[in-house]
Formats: sequence, structure tokens, C-alpha cells
Amino acid sequence: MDNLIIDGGVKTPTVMLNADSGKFELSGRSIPENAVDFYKPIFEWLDNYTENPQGNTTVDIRLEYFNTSSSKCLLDVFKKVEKLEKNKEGSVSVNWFYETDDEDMLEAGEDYDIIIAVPFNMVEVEEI
Amino acid sequence: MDLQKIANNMSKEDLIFTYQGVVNDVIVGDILQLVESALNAEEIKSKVKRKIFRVLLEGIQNLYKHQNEISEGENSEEEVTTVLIRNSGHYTLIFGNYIAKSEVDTLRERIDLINTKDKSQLREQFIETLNDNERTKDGGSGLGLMDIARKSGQPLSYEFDEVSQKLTYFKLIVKINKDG
Repeated sequence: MDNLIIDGGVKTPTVMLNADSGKFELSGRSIPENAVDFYKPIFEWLDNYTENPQGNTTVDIRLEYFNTSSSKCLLDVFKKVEKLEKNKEGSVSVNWFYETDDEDMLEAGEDYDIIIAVPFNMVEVEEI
Repeated sequence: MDLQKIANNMSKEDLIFTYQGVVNDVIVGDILQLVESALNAEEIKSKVKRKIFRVLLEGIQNLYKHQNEISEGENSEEEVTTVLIRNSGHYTLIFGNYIAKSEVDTLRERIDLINTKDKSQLREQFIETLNDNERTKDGGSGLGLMDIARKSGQPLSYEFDEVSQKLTYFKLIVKINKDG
């Protein structure tokens, strides 16, 4: 299947979903007023991917800002990959990047870690 | 909301940003950009800048959603207000918008309930709401106010000013400590 690559905008993240390597990355800002419109193609792509997944799927989240409209969509992304692990179809890990001192972003990652049954690695970096 | 009155009550240096008018996609983007550059000039930790920006982002997108709900009648009813003020130990963000008078009680109860919760209770409620599959009809998630309260770390203040028999002007006042 084709990879899904979306260039980042002022309010939308850069998206790189690689079906061959099983590596996914969202970076930049996710602050559109209605995030569902933006995330729809990502959900569709993930639904296809999870039918024929790689053995290991890695999700890198490197976001500087995201709004609450996006927070539900991010949860949906995690739930889609979580199914792979639940159904024993592959292993999944999430790397959640946050800048040193950015407790809000760290806490946001921990919120997802509480809900989602795949391991979250909190990765502290100097600059996102 | 009388912006002039707010502005007169403080020295010019303390008023970082004000906007009063109708908002749309483009204006929201412009405001965020303006405030972000204004914040860069503030001599505070970057984590506090990010906190202010996040609260502003959530607050203004909340205004944008509610502006659309009160679309009947004159233009002035669609006007929203955003103010960012530098105080001695903290920053204050004010968000103002018209709401139907019938919504006042529900909104007041929601904010009062948020204010009764401590940090961990608020987090628990946020996670529960986040994990709830319901999404409001306008694509919102019901998380906005809780998110603002979590980032602020202080009780939310509000004012309701009766405008007419049907309309009330709602002001949400959010404080953010200078040292985070």
C-alpha cells in the first residue's frame, strides 16, 4: 500500500505514515478548528494498514501544540494501533516527545498512556 | 464588554493584546500568530509562554464555536473579545462572547464544578471525557474548559452580563502564574 505523507501547515501537523517500515510520525502543530476533517484520511489509511500490518509498528508524536479538538483524534489514532497489540497481530510502541520543562506536554502524553494499552516512551528533548 | 474601560484602568505596558470583533478561521490564525510574537518579547520562561499560548488557543477556538451558535440578529451579537494582560505575578486572559440567557445556569454549573476539583480529580475527569466516544454536534469534545483549567492551575473566574431578555455576555477570566 502507498505511504501517506501530508505536509505540515500553520495549523496542521506534518504526517508521515510508512506502510513498509511500520513507522509513523506526526510533528509540528495540530490546532485546526475542526480536527476530524484533517484526521479523516489518516484514519482511513490506518484502517487499511492494520489489515496487513508490519510486525513492529512505531508511532512518533513530536507535537509542539495540539488543541482539544485534535486530542480526541490522537486518541483514535492510538486506539487503531492498539488493536494490533490487543489482537496479537503485531507489537506497537509510541514515542511521545516533549521539550525539557514542558510539563503540560509530558502530562498530555501520560494521559494517553493511562488510556491506551501499548507502551508509551516519554522522550525528553531540548527542542521539538 | 467595554474594552476601553479595561484599557483605561491600566498602564499601556500591561495590555499585551486585545481583540474585539467577529472571528473566522483566518482571524483566529492571525490572532494566534500575533500573540505568539508578542509572547516572544515577554521575559518569562518558555514553558509559561507555551502555557499562555495553549490557553489562548483553546479559549479563542471555544469562542469561535460559540459565536456560530448565536448567529441570529445583529452583527454585534457575534462579537467576541480576547484580552491578554500582564499583571505583577501573573498573566490574565479574558474571553468574552454572547450566549443565550437560557444557557447561563448550565455554563455556571459546569465551571463551578470544575473549580471544586483539585489537580488530580480534574485530570481524572479529563481522561474520562477524552475516552468517552461522544462528540458534541459541532465537532467539539467538551474538553475545552477542563483543558484551560488544567493549564491554568487556578480556579476559573467568570462574569455574566445581561444584555437583553434573550442574550447574556459571558466572560471567562483565566490566570496563569508567571513562574508556571
